[in-house]
Amino acid sequence: MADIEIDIDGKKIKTQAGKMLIQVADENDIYIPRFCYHKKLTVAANCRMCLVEVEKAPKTLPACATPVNDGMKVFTQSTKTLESQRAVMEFLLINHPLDCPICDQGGQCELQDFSLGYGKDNSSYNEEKRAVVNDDFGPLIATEMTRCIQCTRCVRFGKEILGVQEIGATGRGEHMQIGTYVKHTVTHEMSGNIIDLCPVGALLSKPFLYKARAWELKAYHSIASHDGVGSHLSVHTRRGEVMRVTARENETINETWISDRDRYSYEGLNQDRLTQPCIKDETGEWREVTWPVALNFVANALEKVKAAHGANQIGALISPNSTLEEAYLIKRLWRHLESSQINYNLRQTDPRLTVVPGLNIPIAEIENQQTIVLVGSHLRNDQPILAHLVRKAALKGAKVHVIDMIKHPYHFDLASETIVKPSEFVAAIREGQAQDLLLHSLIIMGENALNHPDASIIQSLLNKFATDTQSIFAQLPEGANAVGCYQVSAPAERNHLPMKAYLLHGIEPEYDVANPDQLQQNLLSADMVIAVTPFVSENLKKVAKVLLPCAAFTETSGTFMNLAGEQHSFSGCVAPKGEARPGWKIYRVLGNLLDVPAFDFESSEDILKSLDHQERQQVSSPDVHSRLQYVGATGQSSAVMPHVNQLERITAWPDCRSDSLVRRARALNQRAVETRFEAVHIHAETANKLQLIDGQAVQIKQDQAHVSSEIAINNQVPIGAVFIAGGTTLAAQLGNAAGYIEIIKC
Amino acid sequence: MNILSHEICNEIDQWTAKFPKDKKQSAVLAALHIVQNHNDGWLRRELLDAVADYLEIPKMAVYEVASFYSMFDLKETGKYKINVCTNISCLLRGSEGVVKHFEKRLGISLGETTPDGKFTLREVECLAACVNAPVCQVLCKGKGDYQVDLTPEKIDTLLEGLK
Repeated sequence: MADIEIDIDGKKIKTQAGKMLIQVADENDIYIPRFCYHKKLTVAANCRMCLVEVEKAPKTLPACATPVNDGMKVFTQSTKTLESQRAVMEFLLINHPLDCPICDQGGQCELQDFSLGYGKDNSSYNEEKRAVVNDDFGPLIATEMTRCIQCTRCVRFGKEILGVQEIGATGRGEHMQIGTYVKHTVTHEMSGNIIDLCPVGALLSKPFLYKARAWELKAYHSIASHDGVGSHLSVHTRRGEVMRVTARENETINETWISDRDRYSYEGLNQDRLTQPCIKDETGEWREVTWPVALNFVANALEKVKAAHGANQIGALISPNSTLEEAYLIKRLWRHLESSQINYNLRQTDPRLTVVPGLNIPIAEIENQQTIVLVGSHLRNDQPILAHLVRKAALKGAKVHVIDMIKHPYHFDLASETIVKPSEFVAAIREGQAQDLLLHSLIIMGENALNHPDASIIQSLLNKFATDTQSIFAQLPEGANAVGCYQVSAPAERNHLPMKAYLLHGIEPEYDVANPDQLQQNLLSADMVIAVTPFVSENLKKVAKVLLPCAAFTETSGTFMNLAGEQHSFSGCVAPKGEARPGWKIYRVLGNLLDVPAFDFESSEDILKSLDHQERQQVSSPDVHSRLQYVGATGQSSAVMPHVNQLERITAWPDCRSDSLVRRARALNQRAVETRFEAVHIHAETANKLQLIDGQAVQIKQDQAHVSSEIAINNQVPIGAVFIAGGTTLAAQLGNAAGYIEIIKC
Repeated sequence: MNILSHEICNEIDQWTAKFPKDKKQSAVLAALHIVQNHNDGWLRRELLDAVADYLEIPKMAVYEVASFYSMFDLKETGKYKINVCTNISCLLRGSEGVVKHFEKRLGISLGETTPDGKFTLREVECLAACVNAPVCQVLCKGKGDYQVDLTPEKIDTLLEGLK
């Protein structure tokens, strides 16, 4: 576009034709007030707040909808501009209730600010104001629609960014209202962003409602801890409590959005907290102890197990949401103990698989892809921001192909969609490769594929396919720091043999692993189980011998590596609860007690520095592809043919059940109730064949486990398969996440 | 399940044919008129949803349009919709008396429907027939005429004729 020069308030500005005036002003730090304009949304020009005087134009023009022209002269502070803005402000306030004292937005409200900055102190309107009957958007978003000034940012956000029009503007003129029209819960996984978007107090965070005033809050920078995107967050605290979380802009990662999981998971921070180190005594009673006692006990216990059974009888199961520093210190500790048993890919069922996590392109590059193949990836659930970028690519014309074991709803058109049972999944991928149209694509192997019992075959098939087609092969496992964990510590070979001692870091054994039943047995038969965890549960008390309280998300400094391999460090926002300590401090002291050399770290930055001198496993190095052996041609499928009335089990972790923090987030779980994640999901035809109806109480049987549940008819599940959500009470009572299920009528 | 009759779908198809294939939304106004005319003169929620599904557009897009235009009725109406103009020209020519006479004859106020479900009376903005003010419009199944130069006698005759 041609370079032109315009003049704003006497300042000469070089810019390109075609840009809108408000954009140019923003780029040059000249502020023009606005309500409806948002740089990520289309221009609506309906609030008129950005009216500015332009030379030779008879009337003031909306800066958001006025393209710049060469030689244009703009006056953002002239009497004419200010008069217009004052008039608009008066107009906008006609129907606004001015209930700022009882409004959560008070103190952070654009309407309030602009009224002060650009409005006047009285109004010529003396008639009655309108009131709007309130809508109910569900447990995440509170509404007070009388305050709405109809900027339609939320409506455009739904239409353009989410791809789903859950909210619209109905009625006309005085009667126009924003709402869902038909009462229903807003369900999109990124819907909470409308709270940040709303310039007034019409859309508010429900869990935060009436909890604090904006001016009482301190904002800290943080990084989201649930998926591998590394979304930038702003954590707002008051007197040492996290009060809410909002999006922080990062154009190359999360733009201005965050997922609902990242926004609302903080609600779990105050639930079930472990605040004191505890040791289980001989009688099975829990005793609160001091840190030195607890850590000495742990150090002795580890040395005892090592002496008695060998170091490889000491295993560490660590959450892939652990910080880089925690994972590194555990690695160093284990190396000192001479144990190689560290694992963080806990949901995978194929023991032959080594996940090589990583997107292998920058996150922002997703939207520029021409072809994207989603293999076993519920991207909207697992990595919502990446799903948004895939949608952006699709809107630009990219072809998106899907091969999966569950039909997931997408808000864009798919070029092809293949949904098969787990036993047919590998074959479907082989066939998919036969299609000769996927050159230079981005192939995403998602959680469902990585958790498949033949994941190693799928991995090598896709890897070969990617090499043949000059495509990018991305593996996206769960966790905020899967890449970081991989870099500091190669995962141990998975086997299901019981070990004598376990360290559980940030995981709940009944929820976070592929086979809860088996792990439970292994833990119960172990001599020593050390749980380092922010949260305590009845089950942890049952299986563990020592409970060490560690800092939760927002309470520790640390570093996450996102799927693109970018390293983001963050500091703690609040102090850990009670006697809880940041994970790195716990391991530092434990290391000192075990005489690990060069282990005197003063801070997480120290650890990071030390880590810089270490050799890390490179994720995106060119030899990754060759390192993945091609076993596709000969690889034996582990799938066994089922008995007649058995169904193939598919398990995926819904976003509200994916780690110990979100499982405790009340509003997120409340919203997900409609998805019936505790039920057994089968296709209508399967139900028909087995003469089952929706809501029917049943017994389900897998190997030795018998569990009561109820049927949910869900046609997203393939015929002959059954979907059971991971991280649920139901899944916790069962065995392997892949396998066969029998449904018995009660 | 499609609750729109074959006949309705055919009529809508004639409209969608006029627009590019991926721009079916352009036919939403026409489709709503057709569906309203075939369904007792008003649009139940299910009908709005059916139109959205048929045109493959979000339901909200239909709600927005249907609630915007006053010619779409989202609540049950009488068989005959009597729209009396009360805008400036008609007002100067005695529309207040016209409204009063209608109200007296039908026993209902503006915006109401007679208990027998026959008439809905309401005021509308300018019907663009000022030359013959005061005027009203009588609609039945989407079809209707203007009644012009209204007088109490004319209104009586009109209502007799509609019985």
